[in-house]
Amino acid sequence: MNIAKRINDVQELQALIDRSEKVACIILGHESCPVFFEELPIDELIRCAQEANLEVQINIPVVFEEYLDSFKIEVTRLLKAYPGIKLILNDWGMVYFIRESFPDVKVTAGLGISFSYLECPWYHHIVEEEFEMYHDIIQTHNFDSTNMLDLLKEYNIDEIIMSDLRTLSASYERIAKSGISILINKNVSIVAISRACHILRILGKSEEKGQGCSKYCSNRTVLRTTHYYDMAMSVHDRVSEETKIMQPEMYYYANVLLAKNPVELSHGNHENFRLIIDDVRY
Amino acid sequence: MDKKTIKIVAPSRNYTMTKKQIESKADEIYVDVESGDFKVLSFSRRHKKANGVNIQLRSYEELKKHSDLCHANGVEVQLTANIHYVPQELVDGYINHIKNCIDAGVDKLVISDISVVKEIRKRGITTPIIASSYTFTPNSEMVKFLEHLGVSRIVLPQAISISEISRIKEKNPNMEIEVVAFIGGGNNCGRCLMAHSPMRKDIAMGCRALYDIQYDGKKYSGKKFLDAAADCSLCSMPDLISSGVSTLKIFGRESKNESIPIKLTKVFHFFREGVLSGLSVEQIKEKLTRETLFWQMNWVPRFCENKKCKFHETDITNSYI
Repeated sequence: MNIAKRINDVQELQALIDRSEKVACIILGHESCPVFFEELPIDELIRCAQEANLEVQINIPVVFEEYLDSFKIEVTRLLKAYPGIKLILNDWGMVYFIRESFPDVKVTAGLGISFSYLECPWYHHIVEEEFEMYHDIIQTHNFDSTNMLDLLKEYNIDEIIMSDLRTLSASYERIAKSGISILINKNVSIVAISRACHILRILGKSEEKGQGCSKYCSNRTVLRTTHYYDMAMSVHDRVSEETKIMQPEMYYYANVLLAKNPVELSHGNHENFRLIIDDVRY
Repeated sequence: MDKKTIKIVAPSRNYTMTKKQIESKADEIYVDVESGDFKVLSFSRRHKKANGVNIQLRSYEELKKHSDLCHANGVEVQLTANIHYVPQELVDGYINHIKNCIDAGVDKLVISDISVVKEIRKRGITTPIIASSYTFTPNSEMVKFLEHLGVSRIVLPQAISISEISRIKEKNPNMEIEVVAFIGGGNNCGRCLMAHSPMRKDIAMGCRALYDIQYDGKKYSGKKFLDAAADCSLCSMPDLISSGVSTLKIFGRESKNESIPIKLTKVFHFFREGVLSGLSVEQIKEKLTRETLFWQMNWVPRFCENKKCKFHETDITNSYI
């Protein structure tokens, strides 16, 4: 079983190397926050990792148009400067750009475009209400279809990151059979990605965006639903106790909303995955 | 100046609403239709019910009546076939549903799952395809990708600026651009799995819920933590037209009060008429204040006073990365 770890700073990486921790791959970058990405010492991290003979994959965030030119330059620079690294892409625009500009480069599909309905911690109650004949069908992954697998291959995606959910067992098997490698993201699922940085907004610190604001992500934000919004009446009302149980606490990190995957819902058997990503953001 | 330089796409869920949306000058109407397959799900992103309301037309026959009415009035019909992704075993059922809807008069297909675009074309369906906001198109490279696949219109994500829209249009002149002009979401709707429950009214828009928060050792109660939902684009209509937007989409199919989505269309049309006749935004708002109680009593307190502007500088838009 090959382990991958998400690393954000050089000290963390050096400590891992010094401990001779059994890690095969380092995941750098971020699925969704370009500012977080830009504040990383990416070159130093890559050099340090490659010197230690570690595989390096780099999460390129979802790129809105405002950042497109700068990220096109950055990914071009990274691919030319560091042969051997692999990009994890989180929007289809960047997938298209890389395929058009670097037709021989293989990429990984990140959690920005790889998901399932069951990343929603309370989706099971909708599945249970639906006709039984659809239960297994709904509990599949968005890449688990012939057309999507063809699209992945057409656009040079040979690996995908997937959440670690028992409900996705059939999808893991079918996707792996198609020749695509799976990197399993343990511990958490991504429930939502936003463009807005909610923590900056709530703290009233939006003016610090891009000025070392990633320090606010070093503190975990824990959320628990208390009231739902009635759009028609424009009021908030208390959620029921049943709903509170159904909606677990969630975690906010940069502009990503995460839910813990409890062990009992995890796939468990990780032998067929190329890498297990130890995602300890929460 | 041609009065149709920007179109309004309005929601409907029954014949009366469609009739009134047409009277309110909607240019296109979007509907979902019962396919006969599911109990709670549908081939649309919104399930069969939302907010306790059945939001689908009941049959293809009912759709035909809608389509005939729309076409007789020069209005086009969009089908929301924008289920987030189509599992393999549902592909045939999905395509059959689309074909039945096209036979019943649908003019455009709204999809979210990019992988079905090829399938739709492989099966000989040539109906124009719109990539919904749930496809999530944040940049011009993705627009090129969608154009390459065969999409002719995109609905841009909700958290996007007018300068970005202009750049996207400039780089993709042949792609029609639609924006969600009314009602927003706090997350990227194409990558938000916070499902609204078709059964439980207290599992609604997760981004607008209240949360107890723990951060940096402190606790906060009742916070609108995820509510970066910007809702109104009226005052930006002139800029949207200049930036190349051809269509404004209004949400509201699930409104319990059927008259609300109709009023929304009327307000948007009122604003459009004002813009196209050369009035300033302030002049149009003054007219609305004089002539429309709905504007004064509902819109202004709910959206203007709460700074829910989609394209102006607010706490919400300032928090966009």
